[in-house]
Amino acid sequence: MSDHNEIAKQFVEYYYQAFGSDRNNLAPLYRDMSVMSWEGTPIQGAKNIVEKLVSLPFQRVAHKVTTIDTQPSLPNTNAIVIVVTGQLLVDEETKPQQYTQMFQLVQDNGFFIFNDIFRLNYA
Amino acid sequence: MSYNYGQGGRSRGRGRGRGRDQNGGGGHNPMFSRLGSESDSYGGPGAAGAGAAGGGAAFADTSMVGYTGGPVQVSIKGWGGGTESSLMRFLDNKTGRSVNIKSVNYRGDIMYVLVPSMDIAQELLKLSGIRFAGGKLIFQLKIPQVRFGADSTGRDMQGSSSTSESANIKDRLINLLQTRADMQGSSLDLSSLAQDNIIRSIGADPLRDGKIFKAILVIAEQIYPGLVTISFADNGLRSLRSIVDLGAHFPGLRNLSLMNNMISDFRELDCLSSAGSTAPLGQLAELILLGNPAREAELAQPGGGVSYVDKVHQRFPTVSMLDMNPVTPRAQPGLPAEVRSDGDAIKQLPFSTEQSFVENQGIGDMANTFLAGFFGLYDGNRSGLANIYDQEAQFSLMVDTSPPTNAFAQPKAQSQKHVDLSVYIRISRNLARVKSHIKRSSALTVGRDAIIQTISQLPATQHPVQDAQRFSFDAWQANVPGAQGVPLTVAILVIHGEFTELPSQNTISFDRVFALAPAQPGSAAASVGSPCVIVNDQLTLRRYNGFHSWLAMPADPPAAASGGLSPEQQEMARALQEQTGLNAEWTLKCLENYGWNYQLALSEFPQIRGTLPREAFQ
Repeated sequence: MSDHNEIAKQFVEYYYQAFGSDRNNLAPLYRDMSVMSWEGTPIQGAKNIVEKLVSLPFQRVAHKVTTIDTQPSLPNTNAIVIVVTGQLLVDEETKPQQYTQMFQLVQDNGFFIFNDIFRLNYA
Repeated sequence: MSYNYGQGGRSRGRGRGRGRDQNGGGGHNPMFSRLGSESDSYGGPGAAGAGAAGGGAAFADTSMVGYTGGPVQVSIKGWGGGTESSLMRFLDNKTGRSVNIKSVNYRGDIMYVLVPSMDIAQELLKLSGIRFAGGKLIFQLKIPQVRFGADSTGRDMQGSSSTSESANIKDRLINLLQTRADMQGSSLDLSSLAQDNIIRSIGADPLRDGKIFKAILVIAEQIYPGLVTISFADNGLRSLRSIVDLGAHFPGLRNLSLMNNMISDFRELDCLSSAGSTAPLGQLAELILLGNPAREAELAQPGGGVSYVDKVHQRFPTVSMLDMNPVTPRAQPGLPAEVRSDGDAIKQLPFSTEQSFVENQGIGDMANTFLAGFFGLYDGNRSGLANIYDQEAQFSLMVDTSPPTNAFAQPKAQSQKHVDLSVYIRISRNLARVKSHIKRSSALTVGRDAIIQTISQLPATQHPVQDAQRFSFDAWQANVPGAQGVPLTVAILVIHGEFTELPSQNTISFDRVFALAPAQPGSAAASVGSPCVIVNDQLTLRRYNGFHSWLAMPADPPAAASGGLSPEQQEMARALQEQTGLNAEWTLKCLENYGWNYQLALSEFPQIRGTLPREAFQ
C-alpha cells in the first residue's frame, strides 16, 4: 500500500470540502455495504447515508480539522483507520462544536468509506 | 472461520459498576427510600399536612392510616378573580372557623381542596353561590355524599349490601382508595391488592384479571387528581397493560413502585413511556423495580449495572432515584432537555445525541467486558496489557490543542493547574501538523512490545470507569474485505471520556478508537479471559471538556421529556422561567397552578414568591 498517511490526509481534506460545498457529492465515497453511525444512529448504504447527511438541519457547515491520525487496519486487508477531531461551525453559529469522526477506508479500485462513526462530543 | 463476539470473555472480573451514589438526584426527595421510617406525618386529621410537593415518606403504611372520618375532597369553581390565600381567608371568615385546608391541586380553573372532615365540607357546600372576587364560588363534594355520610369507615364497607351492584362496586373502590391514600391525596398504596378485603368482597382477582386496576385508576383520578406517588408492589404483575393509562390519569406522577412483581421483560415498561404511550410518565423521578425478574436477570449479566440503568433511562430519562439509589437522570422532568438547568451550551446542538450506541447485545457485552478490563490494567498495570494487544498491533496518540469550548465543564471543586500536554505532544502524530515522514512513522508504535514500552512511559492515570455517564462509546462489528477475498471480522469501538492524570491531578478528556479482533483459542488474550485482541489503538487527548454533550437529548424532546407539553406551553414555560428565575420543575408547577394562564401566573408570581422554597429557583 502506498503511504497511508498521505491517503488519510488527502481523504480528510476532500471529504470535508465536499461536505461543505454539496453533501450530495459524498455519495461516490460510500458503497451499499457502508455503515455510518451518526450520533449513535446507525445508517447503512450510500443512498441512505447521503440522504441523512443532506437532511441535517443546517444550510451551511464548515469543518475545521484539528487532528488527523491513521493506522493500517488488520493485516491482510487493504484498509486503514482514520481518526479526525475538529470543530464544526453551522450556519450563523459562531460557537464551534467539537467533534470526533472515525473512518475505516477499504480499497477496491479506489478507497471507499466502509465505516463512519461521527460524534459531536464536546458541546 | 467466523467469530462470535458475544461469546466468552466473561471471566474478566470487573463489570462497570453502578456506584454512582455521589451523583444525587438534585434535590429530589427519595420518597420510597424512607418508606415505613416516618410516621409523624400521619398524626391524624388535624396534623399539618406536608403538602403534595413536599417531602416525607411516599407511602402511608396502611396500618398507620387509622382515620375513620377521613378528609373530604371538595372542588371549588369560580375563584379565579382572587388568589388562593385570599380565598382561604375568605372561607375562614365565612365559616367562622379555620377551614384547615390540607392541600390544594388545580385542574384548569377548578381548585381541589382536602378538608379535614365532612362537617367542614358541608359548611363549604352551603356557601355555594357566594360572591368572591368578582365571581361566584361553586363548591362540590368529589365523593358521593350518600355513601360517605352513611358509612365512612372503609374497612367496614364490604359487608353492606346495595341495590345497585355497579354503584356499590364504585363506592367500595372509593373506600378502598380512602384506606390507601395519604392525608394529602398525593400518595396511593395499591400494593398486595389480592389480599385486600374490599377487593375480595367484589370478587375481583387482581392476580388473574387486571381490569380492576383500570377501574381503580379511573376512580383515583376523580378523587385524587394531584397524585404524585403510587405503588403497585406485590401484585404479581407480569404485564403492565392493565395500568397503561397511568400517565393519562396522572400526568404529574413522580414516584412509581413496581416492586416485587413478575415483570420479566423491560419492554413491558414501554407502555408507560414515550415508546408505547401517548401519555408517558414524563415527570417520573423515582422508580422501583426491585424484585422483578427482568431487573435481577439484567444485573446478573456482565456490565449489567450499566445496561440496567440504561434500559430504565431509555424509557424514563427523568428518573433520578432507581431502586432507592440515586442515578443521574438524562433529562430534567417537565421541560425539553435544552432548557436544562445545568448550562446553556447544550441548546446549540443541531442534532440529537445518544449516550451510547451498540450494534447488538453481543458486541455491547464484549465492549463492556473489554473496556472494564482494559482500563483496569491501563490504570493499574500497563505491562499486563501485553496479552491483550495483538503481536502486530499499532498504537498512536495525538493531541488536540484547541481550547475547550465548554467553559462550564471544568471539574468542580478543582481548579485545574496548568495543563501540560507537552509529554504527549512529543509523540503526537497529528498528520494535520506533522509533515515529516520520519516523525510520522516514528510516532506510530507497531508491535506489542513496543506498545507496552510506549504506553508505560505515559503518565499514570485513573479512568473513572465506575461512573458510566462520564463515558460514551459506539461499538460496531465490521467484516472487512480481506486481501484474499476472505472477510476478516473486526469490532470497532469509539470511546469518549476522561481520566485523571495522577502526577498532576489534572483531568483530561480523551477519545480512543480501538479495532479489535476475536481472541484466537489458545492465544495469550484468551488465556487471560479477554474476548478479543487489540489490533489498532488510536488515542486523542485534549483539555477537559466535560461529558454533558453525550448525556442523551431525547430524539423528540417535547414528547419524551416535557410530559406532552404543547409548543405553546413550552414557549410559556420558557418565557416564565426567564421572567421569574424559577427552575424547570417549579415553572411547570406554577403554570399548572394558574391553569396555564401565562399572564395570571406572571402577575401572581410576586405574591407567591415568598412562599416558595429556595430549591424552586435556579
